[in-house]
Amino acid sequence: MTGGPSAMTLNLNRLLDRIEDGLAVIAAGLLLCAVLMVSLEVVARYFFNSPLSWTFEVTEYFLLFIPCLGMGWLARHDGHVSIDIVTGRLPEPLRSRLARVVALCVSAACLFVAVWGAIATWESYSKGARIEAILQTPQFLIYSAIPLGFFVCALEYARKALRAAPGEAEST
Amino acid sequence: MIEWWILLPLIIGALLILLVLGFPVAFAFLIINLAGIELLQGGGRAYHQLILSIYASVTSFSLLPIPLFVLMGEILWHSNIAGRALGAMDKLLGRVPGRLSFLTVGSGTVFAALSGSTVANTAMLGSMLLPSMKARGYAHDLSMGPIMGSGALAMLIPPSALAVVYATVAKVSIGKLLVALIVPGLLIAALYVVYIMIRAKLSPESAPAYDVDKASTREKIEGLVRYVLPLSIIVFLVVGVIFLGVATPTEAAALGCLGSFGLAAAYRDLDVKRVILALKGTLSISVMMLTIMAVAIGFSQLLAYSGASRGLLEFVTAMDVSPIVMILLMQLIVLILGCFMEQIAIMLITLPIFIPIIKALGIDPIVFAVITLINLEIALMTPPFGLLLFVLKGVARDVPMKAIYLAATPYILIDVLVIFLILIWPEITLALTRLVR
Repeated sequence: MTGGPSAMTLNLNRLLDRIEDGLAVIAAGLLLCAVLMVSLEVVARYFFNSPLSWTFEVTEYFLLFIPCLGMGWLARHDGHVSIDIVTGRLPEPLRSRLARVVALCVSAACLFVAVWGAIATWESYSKGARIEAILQTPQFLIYSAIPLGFFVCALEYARKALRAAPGEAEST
Repeated sequence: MIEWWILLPLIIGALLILLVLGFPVAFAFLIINLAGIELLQGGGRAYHQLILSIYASVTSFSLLPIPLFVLMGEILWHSNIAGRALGAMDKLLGRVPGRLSFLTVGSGTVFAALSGSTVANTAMLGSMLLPSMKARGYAHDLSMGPIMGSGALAMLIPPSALAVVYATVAKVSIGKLLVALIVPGLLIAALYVVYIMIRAKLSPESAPAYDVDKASTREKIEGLVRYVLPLSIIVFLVVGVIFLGVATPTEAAALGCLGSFGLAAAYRDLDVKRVILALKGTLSISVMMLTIMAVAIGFSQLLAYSGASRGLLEFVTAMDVSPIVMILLMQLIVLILGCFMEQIAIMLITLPIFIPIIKALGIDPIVFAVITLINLEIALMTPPFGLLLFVLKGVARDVPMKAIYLAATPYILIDVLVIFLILIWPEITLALTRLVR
């Protein structure tokens, strides 16, 4: 690798950052919404005796969207906990090579889940399946969080795998 | 089909290898699940099942306290609520030897009742108290020790995010488990105090007494009323409502968050910057935990499918060992794993195997849960890789790692002592659970 990264790579890099940040902001918003909705539910039930039955269901969907939307963002910040007993002690060229192989495997696994998630989402869309609960939410809307989240996460780990190691031509 | 006793070490071994190679915990579980599905279930449609299990494992109302309890801790950490409460408690203590150590345990316990995050709690105590303890020449086991010990209490005393994870994986009542953890948590704090008292008495030079600015009774009471007592509102919103049967643990968690926000706002401590910081911190910890939960539930399904869970169960029940020996054996495994591994991973590896066994042996699942959680708390402080050791190393960079290990030792022993006390008198943890409506 000689010379700096091309303008296109830079743009793609920035685009992925933006997507990850955007999804993370939505996830944080959902988290705050959940706090408000559940508190409202308690108040509605105990003080006005009129439970808002839908909060239960909606917050459950949030619990799938929060990790899925935040996954790629967290991966960029190395927030997915890992155990560095051995890797922390490896000499440098070996350590970053291993880290790249790990990132590549994780990326492949996430892509695999994204593909199967897309298949599951598509199938429930074409069947018009709905979740058996009060709101009768279309299943595919909820399932879609899985392919979306894992796909962005796969991209992030692919970027980690491809990124030049410190000491090589270019680093970010 | 291959025999379970060949499969079990293969599955666990492969998982451990991935973890050692530095795979993030969540994705190590994911890859093992994918491989298991391919090799044992022939792939294909079975992957469809994995997607459904990802969906099903996190979309559970009872998991919502995980992010909410963490959010409570983050608000406490980023607003100045903790600092003010600490200042007020500082005034209450007179000129006693080891007063800063007592202050650490006292405030650590109070903050543990407001926060579900051990790391936030320890980092907070460390940055607020360690500098003045060092300036006063406190010994390591009376400065760093109580910080780690009482920092770790956040995962025992409700709200506790890890207790929710445990209850979900082991399928025990979250409300009951949270309540069952109160007395053991307070007992541990009390024993820490006793240790500090004895230690400061026997060697006064390890916690030199110093003159404190005398606060008037009026000042003391004012500090208590303004900065410490209001915290009990939050404790009530979380624990009280569960006790009274007014709200589910999830609703209690939401009320607790709202209460924390409200209190921070009342002290005029809430601005956009702090809320964003708290949300950011909460998002990283909860996404990390929920991602693990989403992909790792498939792991227990894999163990069940391979026949390992049932095979091991039959093997153990045929061995005819007494329940107490079995508990000790299982706890030994948790303790050993705890030296190297992160807590959720330990729970997800061991609980699918342990839970059927303790059911078969007639061991109370709540007692077992409390003991295991205390043991997992120890895991945070055991060398070489206890998380809190490193949190503290981050706060006190010039202290050698060995000194930090030694400082944690008395507190680890106290935790072990409490585990034995609970084994002897399970009522320590069960008595309160009977009061829950």
